[in-house]
Amino acid sequence: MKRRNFLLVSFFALVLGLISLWYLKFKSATTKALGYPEELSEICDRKTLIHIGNTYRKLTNENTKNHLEELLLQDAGMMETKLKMNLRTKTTDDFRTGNTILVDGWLLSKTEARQCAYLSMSEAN
Amino acid sequence: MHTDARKLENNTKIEGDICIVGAGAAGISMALDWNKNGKNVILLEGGGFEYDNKIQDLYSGNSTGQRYYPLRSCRLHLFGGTTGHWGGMCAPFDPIDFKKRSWVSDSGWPITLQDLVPFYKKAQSLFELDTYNYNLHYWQKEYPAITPFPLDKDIIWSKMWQFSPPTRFGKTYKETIVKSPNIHLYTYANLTKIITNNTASSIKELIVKNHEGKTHKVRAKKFVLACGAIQNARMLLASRGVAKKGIGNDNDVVGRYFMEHLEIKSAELWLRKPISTELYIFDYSTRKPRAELALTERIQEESGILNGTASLTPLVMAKQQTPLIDVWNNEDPRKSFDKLVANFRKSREQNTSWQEKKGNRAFELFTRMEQAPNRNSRITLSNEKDALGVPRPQLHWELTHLDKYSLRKFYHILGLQMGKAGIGRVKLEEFLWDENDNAMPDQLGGGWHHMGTTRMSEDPNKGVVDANCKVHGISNLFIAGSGCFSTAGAPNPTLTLVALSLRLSDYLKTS
Repeated sequence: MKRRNFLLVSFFALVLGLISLWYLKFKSATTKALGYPEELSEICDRKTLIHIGNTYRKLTNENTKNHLEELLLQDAGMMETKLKMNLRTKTTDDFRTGNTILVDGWLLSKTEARQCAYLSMSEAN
Repeated sequence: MHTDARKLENNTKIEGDICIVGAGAAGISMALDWNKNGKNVILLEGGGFEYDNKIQDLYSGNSTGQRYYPLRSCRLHLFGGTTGHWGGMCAPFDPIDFKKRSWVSDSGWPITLQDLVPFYKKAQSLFELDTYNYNLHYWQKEYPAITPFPLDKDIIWSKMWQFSPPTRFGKTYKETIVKSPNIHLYTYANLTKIITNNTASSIKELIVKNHEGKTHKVRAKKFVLACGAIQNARMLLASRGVAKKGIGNDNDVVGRYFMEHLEIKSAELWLRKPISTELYIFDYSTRKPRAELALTERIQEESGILNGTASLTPLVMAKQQTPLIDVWNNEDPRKSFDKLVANFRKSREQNTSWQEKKGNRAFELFTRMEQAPNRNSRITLSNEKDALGVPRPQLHWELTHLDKYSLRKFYHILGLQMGKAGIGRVKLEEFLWDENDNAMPDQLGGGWHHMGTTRMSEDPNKGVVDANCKVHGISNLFIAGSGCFSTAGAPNPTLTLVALSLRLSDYLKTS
């Protein structure tokens, strides 16, 4: 291999590696944010959140991770901070607009209930 | 003056200008209002100055429908009446309580809150309360630490309570009554029959009896029944003579519309972060006013629900408490009262440790809600008679789907607001989960508040008394007390029933 080609391949491999690393980091951060109902986490422990998530999935048809991801990421930004902020706003808006659901007696925002469902599925995997 | 009716000659005739039957909160308040005014006031009390088991037994009765406390023990039959064991919580009704509400059948009083305000002010002093002011901002000046939750004021407000010591009327006002020159108190004078004239358009006399076998007759120009909502209805229904269906009962309303307050643990409030709850937590060591969470008039109307409030108790304390309906289950009111005190004491011990644990963020939400007026919720007479020959009362306590709907909706709204404000989350009790379930659980209690059995309405088909508490169709018979309430309101009834009685007293003086 010519030296020039070697450098080109190495460069692209490095870029691909960096992109993969960035994607993995992004994916992990997204997964973490999607499965972390911020306000509810200040009230309930992880076990309760997972239980709420499992019950929510039984109450609704939102039973796959992809579907939940799609619903939670609607209008959300790609960056972690923006995503967190978006989920926080969505949660408050849910209470404002009555987009809520009763799960095990808890009156919850649909967004946070979906986050619990997402968490419960991540946990199961 | 005081006379023990057991010591009178049999068949004594007692005469006066006005006769008040019953020396509880309503009767004593009225009598005091007539003190030293030159009129001859007869005040009849079935019991004496001390508890007497034989007398208390005259209150026994049965109940069907929604589970209820024993009728024998949920009132006190002695001078001072049920103030002998009341809790002292006082608050006026809200303006909405008097209004006709399209979503609440048979709601609406023929009077407004404003009509009662002068008498509320007067009633305050009888209960040894502070000034007649139930505005949060007023009390915040005195207690700056009492801050409300940062909730939407158009939706949720803080309803203030004041606390009477509590005033025991039997002890506090005994001397004034007994030494009065114009009030003549007769103890052991149990009303057993009301006698009308030949057309049942006025009351001629009352028959009173006691366990010693003495029977006396009482004559007056005006008669006021102030024996409590159950007993007043019972006596009207039992006094069948010229009026075949009972006195004031031509339209079959007497005894109907029995109402209580719906009192039950309904939800939990979990705060995200510790915030001041001082306004909402009852402090047992002081009489400092406190508040309960209530929904605004507009939200009640928009949601089509009844009026109610929610109180906060630290969950660690509340979890130690047995439902009141399971505590107050002894036929002897003294034993039931002791059990109630023990129940509260048990949770208060937890309170100490709770206060030590900074940052406790979980609370029980306990409901106090009006019951929707319901014709089928009623007092009738049983076939069984008491020792003095009066048929015993039979309570059928019946709730409607509006009661359950309102409870569920109340906490739904509260949950939304707590979430919207970022304060915390509300967790409903299981009996409120299913929207199609209209039944009330057996743990539902009442506040020992009996209301509505001789309700006020200008329409004789809808009520027993008119706006002046005069029985429809009877020229000289009046009813005092919570039996006259057209709707139950959210607060405990004692302050309002005394205000209403003082308004009646005022009317009788001027009419």
